[in-house]
Amino acid sequence: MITLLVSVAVLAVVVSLMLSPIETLGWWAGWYGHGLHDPRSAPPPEEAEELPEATEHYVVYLDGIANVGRYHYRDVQGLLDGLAERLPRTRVVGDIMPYSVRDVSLVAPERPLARWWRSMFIKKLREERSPLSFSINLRNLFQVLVAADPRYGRIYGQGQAQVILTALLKAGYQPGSGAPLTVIGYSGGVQVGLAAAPFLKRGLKAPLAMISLAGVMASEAGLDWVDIMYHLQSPTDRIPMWGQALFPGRWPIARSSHWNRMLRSDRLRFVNMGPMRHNGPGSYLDDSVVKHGENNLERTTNVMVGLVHEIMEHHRQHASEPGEPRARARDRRVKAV
Amino acid sequence: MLDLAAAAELIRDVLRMTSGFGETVVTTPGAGRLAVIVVVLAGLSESVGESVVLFANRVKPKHFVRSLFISAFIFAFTYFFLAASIWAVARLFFVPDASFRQISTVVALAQAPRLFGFLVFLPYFGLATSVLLWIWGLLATTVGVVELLALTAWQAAAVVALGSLLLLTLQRTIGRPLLALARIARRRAAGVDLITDRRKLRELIDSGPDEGLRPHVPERRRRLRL
Repeated sequence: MITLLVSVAVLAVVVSLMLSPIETLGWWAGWYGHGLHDPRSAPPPEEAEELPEATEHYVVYLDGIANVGRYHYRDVQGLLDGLAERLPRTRVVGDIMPYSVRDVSLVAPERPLARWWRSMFIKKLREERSPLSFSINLRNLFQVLVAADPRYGRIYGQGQAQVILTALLKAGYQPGSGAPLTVIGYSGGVQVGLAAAPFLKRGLKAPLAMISLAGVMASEAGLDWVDIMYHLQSPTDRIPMWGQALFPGRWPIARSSHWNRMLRSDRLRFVNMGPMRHNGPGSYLDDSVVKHGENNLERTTNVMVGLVHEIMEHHRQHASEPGEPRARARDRRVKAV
Repeated sequence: MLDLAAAAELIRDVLRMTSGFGETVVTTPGAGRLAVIVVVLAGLSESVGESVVLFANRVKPKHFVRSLFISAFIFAFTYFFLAASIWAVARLFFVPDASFRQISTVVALAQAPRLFGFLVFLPYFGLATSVLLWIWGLLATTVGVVELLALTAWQAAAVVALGSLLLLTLQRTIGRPLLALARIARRRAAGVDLITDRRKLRELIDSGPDEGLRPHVPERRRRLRL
């Protein structure tokens, strides 16, 4: 009986993994009937939401693999609210589904398994410890693998960039304004952000930075397009190390990989977050664990707010040509010297 | 005629590269028909595994299925020429009276690992799987040739390697019209001007819907002609 159950589970995982690129590829091929979505067709900002005045910087948040769509868990919402409150001249955009190039949440009725995802999401919201609710993480993890695959990653990045650009336009981003964008990715969200980075940089023609909160990422070409990146990690959090082990481009032996070139540059900086867990109790976003007078959520928010100020300062000092890879801009300066 | 259980056992022997499978193949009645089925199914499976090219070319669903079958057919044809090349090399260097029917049956059944070719579609792990399946198929072919022609492992490896080399040479010389035909068949089945070149595929994807989304492509420096 146990063997049968294990076999069925393994088969389900393999089939699910096999089918995981279909949404991205089907979107690209126009099989979903919408064709390719043009971000410029997004509703104008006045129809969307009221804009805060003097927005000089945009932050896009790409959630980790527990995400089901635009509905955030309490801890994630806490981070987004904290950032919005502490960064008055920054617009924080969080309503993005990083694991669907069509920006369709898992619980949307058009998905055949919407009912299943909804019930699993409810389990997660109730903090029920059910292995079945992990199916959400697994489904999204497979999308991270799609984004990391050299064959599919480019299409995934293009799709996700359009999702992000559409969200930015809805949030009042003025194309051509050159307003900097910082992508904050949590766990697998970092891989998604990096896959989209070349298209974002080209689309916005503006400075692009990334904050990786315990990111799990491959040695992605998008690293060349990011002006500066901060990687926040706890020494007790082992999950990001999976990325280091799984993706050969991140091994020290691959000296000319995007990751190792980024490591040798001054564009990748590490921040030690102290003892925190990847998710759940004691995580980076847990507001119940208090140390040195601040809880984990406050500490993470404070660190990110400080980094956003640092990033803005960095952009002021090291402007890159709009729409070109940061790595190339640096090479050009070196040649000029 | 082989029944289903016997066919499954024979394929299992090939997959495990069990000692003696080369001889079993030629002595089992109906193995030839099974070999044809294996080659066509392996071709179909490989086509599914490599269908990202069809998606990237925005092939419509109806044409997509047709393209898979055409690719399977082309795969079977390629195998036929591979078997012929291996047979020619074996006759020339080691076994003058080697039988084409026997060699083609063994080489065809040795493609059984490629029945898992659909796994190449797996995200991230697919590329490594593709390499593993290629090595597995090559080893199975070599083992089959060793037993069938009573060659040493090195001799059989040389026969398979030289056979593959001969096939490649033929494809680039007198086989060009056939390759062109295969391209036309693929294009017709897909209903679009199918792009298979990796660089051009990348350009196709980068050329997306929005001008502003297109990644920066540096202009090539041209040499000044004096």
